[in-house]
Amino acid sequence: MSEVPGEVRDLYPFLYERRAAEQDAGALTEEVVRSAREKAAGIAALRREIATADADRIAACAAAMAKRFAAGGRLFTFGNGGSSTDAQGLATTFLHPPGGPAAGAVVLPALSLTSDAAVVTALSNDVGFDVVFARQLAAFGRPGDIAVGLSTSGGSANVVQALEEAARRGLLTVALAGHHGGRLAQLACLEHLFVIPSDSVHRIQEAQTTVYHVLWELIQQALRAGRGGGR
Amino acid sequence: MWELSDVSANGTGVPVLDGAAVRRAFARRAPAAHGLTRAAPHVAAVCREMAARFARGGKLIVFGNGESGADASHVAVEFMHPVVVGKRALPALALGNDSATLSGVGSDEGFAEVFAHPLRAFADAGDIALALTPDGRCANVRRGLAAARERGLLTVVLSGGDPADAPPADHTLVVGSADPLIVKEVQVTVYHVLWEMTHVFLEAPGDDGTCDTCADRARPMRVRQLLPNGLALAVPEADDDGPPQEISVALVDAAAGCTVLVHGGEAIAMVTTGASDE
Repeated sequence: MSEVPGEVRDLYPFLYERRAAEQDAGALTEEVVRSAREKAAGIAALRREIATADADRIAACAAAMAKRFAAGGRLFTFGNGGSSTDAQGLATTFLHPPGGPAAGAVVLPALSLTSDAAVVTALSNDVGFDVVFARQLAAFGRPGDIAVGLSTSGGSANVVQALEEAARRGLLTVALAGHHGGRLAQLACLEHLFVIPSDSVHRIQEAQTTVYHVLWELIQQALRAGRGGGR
Repeated sequence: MWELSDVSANGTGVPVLDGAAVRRAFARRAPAAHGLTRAAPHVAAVCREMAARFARGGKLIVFGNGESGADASHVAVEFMHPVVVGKRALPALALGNDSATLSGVGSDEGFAEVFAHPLRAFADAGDIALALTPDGRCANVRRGLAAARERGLLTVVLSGGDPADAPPADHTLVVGSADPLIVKEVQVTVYHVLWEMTHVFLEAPGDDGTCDTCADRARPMRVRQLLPNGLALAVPEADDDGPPQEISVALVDAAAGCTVLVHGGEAIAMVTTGASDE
């Protein structure tokens, strides 16, 4: 290989130099291990914080949702990106509870509005991305149903529009947000809002997962007790 | 059919849903979360190997069932479209997103083959297979990982429950809880960390001389032919017989026959001025 001129080294030092830490591959690994442990501690602390601050409000939301399900309501979920997969995870947990029929959990009607690529791309292409969830709720939603929107920023326009549409149609409106709640925190029609107090999209999503799992657990407890069952 | 119990704290019965129930539910989650603290060195080792595969052009293929299927989509979008601005997009896909193939294979070959089939048809030996399962007891995940191992992929599985039930893979990260919901919650943190730390290794100027921002190597290339608009056709110096690639020579005073140092498609310096040097 040919010699590299000195001025190139000056211009692109990262190509040729290694910081002291990286001369020892172990040092980088050590740094990564430390960072992973910090994140594990961070999410544990965040969950404790939410349990302390929001326990009563989560219980009230679960009670309101259970009441709707008991009256025949259905659940619609939505979000973007990673939150779209949370919407799917949330819907399938209600529709096909963990453990299958053997576990004896109550199967509840739920649909994620993020799963149908044909509908999402058609609405985005023909009308605009802001309406992809609102339009579906307008078609599916009935008074007595439940709408759950997920947004780590709280600012997703299509989530905000969908919750407004849901409120207009008499659906119970629930949202999970992060940071400071963004536009969702200003949304007067929103009945239940849980804001995860973190600036990390990842930690927000992890804590939101726990919140919707706990909602599911409590709703199961309420509905199982109602049918005189229980495990 | 079921009906609603008395969920109001004002009712005559025992209140079912109150803040205490929520706090108990959160408290149940604390022990499993410590698993990541213990597993951190293993997670770091997985990230290092994943970074090496990405650096060599490998892609990530993710799969799982049920909520783990949604997680597979989450992992794929995490790598493909990072939430942290400035992070490079890495090639990743979730097999569960293709419901046409999923139902087609499931119908013709059985549901146990739904991941193995596309892995055999689409994966390359340099790729990474990442499977998610709450308990390891998924026939299609096991078959998928087996197919991936046969092809030479790096195989990683995030499992839960009894470690003895985890499917065979190069790396197995097991969350110590029998509750699938709690397993999933810890796995979300694990795959977020996998994404973040893979980038840390990828961005570190390591032995392969990859760049901080784009993981491309600067390499000497020989100019075959100058093209209009500051472009040129060039071949890698190390592979003179390889197919010529279009590069930009706008920053250097290049001529046919010279060797230039190319980074990210841009010649950034002259190495030799022409064939006469040889």
